[in-house]
Amino acid sequence: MASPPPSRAAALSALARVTLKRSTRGALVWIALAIAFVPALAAGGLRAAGTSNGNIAFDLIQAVLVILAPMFIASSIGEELEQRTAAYLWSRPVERWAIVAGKLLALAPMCAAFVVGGALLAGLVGDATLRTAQPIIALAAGSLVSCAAVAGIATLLPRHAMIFAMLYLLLDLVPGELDGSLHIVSIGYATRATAGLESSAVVTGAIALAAIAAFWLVIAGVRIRRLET
Amino acid sequence: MSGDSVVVAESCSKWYGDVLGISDINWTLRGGIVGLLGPNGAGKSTLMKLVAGLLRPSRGTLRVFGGSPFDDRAVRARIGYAPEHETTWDELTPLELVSALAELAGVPKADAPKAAERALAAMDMTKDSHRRIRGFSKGMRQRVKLATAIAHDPDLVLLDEPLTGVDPIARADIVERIKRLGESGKTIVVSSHVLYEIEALTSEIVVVYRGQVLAEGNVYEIRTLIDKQPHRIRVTCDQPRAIGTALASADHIARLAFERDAVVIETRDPDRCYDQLAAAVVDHHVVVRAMTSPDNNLGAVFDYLTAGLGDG
Repeated sequence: MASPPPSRAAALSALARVTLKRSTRGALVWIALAIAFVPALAAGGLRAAGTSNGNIAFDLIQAVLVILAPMFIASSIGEELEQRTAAYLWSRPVERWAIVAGKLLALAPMCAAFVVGGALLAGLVGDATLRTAQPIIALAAGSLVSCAAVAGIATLLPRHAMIFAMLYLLLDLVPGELDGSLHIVSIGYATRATAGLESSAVVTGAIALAAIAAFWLVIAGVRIRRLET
Repeated sequence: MSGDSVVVAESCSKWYGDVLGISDINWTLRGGIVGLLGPNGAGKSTLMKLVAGLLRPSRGTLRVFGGSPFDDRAVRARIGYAPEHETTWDELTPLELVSALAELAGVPKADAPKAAERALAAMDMTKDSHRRIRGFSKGMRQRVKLATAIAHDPDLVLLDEPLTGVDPIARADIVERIKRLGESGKTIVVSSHVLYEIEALTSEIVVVYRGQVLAEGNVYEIRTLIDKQPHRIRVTCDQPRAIGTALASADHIARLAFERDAVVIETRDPDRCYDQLAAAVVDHHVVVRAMTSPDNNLGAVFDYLTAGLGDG
């Protein structure tokens, strides 16, 4: 006799555990580790050269996020849809939004950990900006929001999700450089504002990050329900 | 709707954009083992996915245990589905995969490993349950897929082409295991484009062609029609010549053709041919990588059957 459907908490926990197990079995972790080291190497190099590096390590960490968030999230969601293994999950008595949420629960903190680890290392070897708590917390928040955005993009464009997500995060860095109200929709700008590196108030940056995350999570939740495999 | 019906489809259609998956199907499934037979692209997998709750009908209704499988989680908890494609989560071991999917089907976390062990044992996969799935043969993957479909003890089991690419010995074994599931009281729907695979499991057949249910019930007449067409079997293996030599003198062989690592056999008596093929594999220690049955003959028969219906 079949069991009743799992509770939401049980389903999320099971999804997160199996996602974590899968992601730690491949080359993903090692590649992510190598990429997360780059800002520290750059910061160390600049320090050795005696150059004042300003916030360059922070900028590099943001660039690393352009690669890491799609690597973790887009591959997990997009490939599941592309390779049709989503059929195993969708035929289970689990709400489809929970499938995205379970994956995010496992992978977004992992992505944030790599970004924060890279930032702490860069702070240790060079960039003084990254030796305080506020920019580190901002980078962690920016990582989580980037992961939410990538989840939304992966459900919108499962085919080549990683490329589209990288493109989005790359373009996202541009509005942040612009003046005017447009920059508030940029994850990059909102992260910098939360870190106290922009003219906008820290709280404005934090609210913008939360709003951007909510927007993409709603997109992912609605879209995943309409997808067919 | 009849109270004891497992699946009831009423004027059910499914489109993928402009492409028709199934068209205006009216079908009631009451229980037992039922075979969905039709050539590739006939709509079998679409019908399976609708029943499994992966797709929502574009028009009409499809109810399983009285509810909508797409919307109702309680309905999906009673269904076990093994998809047609062989890709799974290859990074995991069978035990991890089946256990995780059982948990997602509602089996409590503490009980999921035991449920997975039971399901894998039922599919004779205990020995390999701790190896990574990456590197498994098609036959082993099919067994793991079947285990994912039964681990949570569902009332309705949907197996989409479960024998595709499986060697003759494993095929006979899997057929027996599916039959045993049916005997335990579960409703089982098995799809295939090969009549002989379905016939080995059940005589209750639903013939699907061009997105429609053409016929239901016992398949004697269609069997007779199909027997008039040579049945083709393609065996990919390490010794195609040994297989060919073993079968060449049999009176039912219409044609043998050799490719670099395969032999294509055309036979007028598939039952005997499969038996002799299994014997040849064992006698000559042949390593079979894949065995497929192109459905040209079935398509020809269905074209013949539908000729009188016209295209409209």
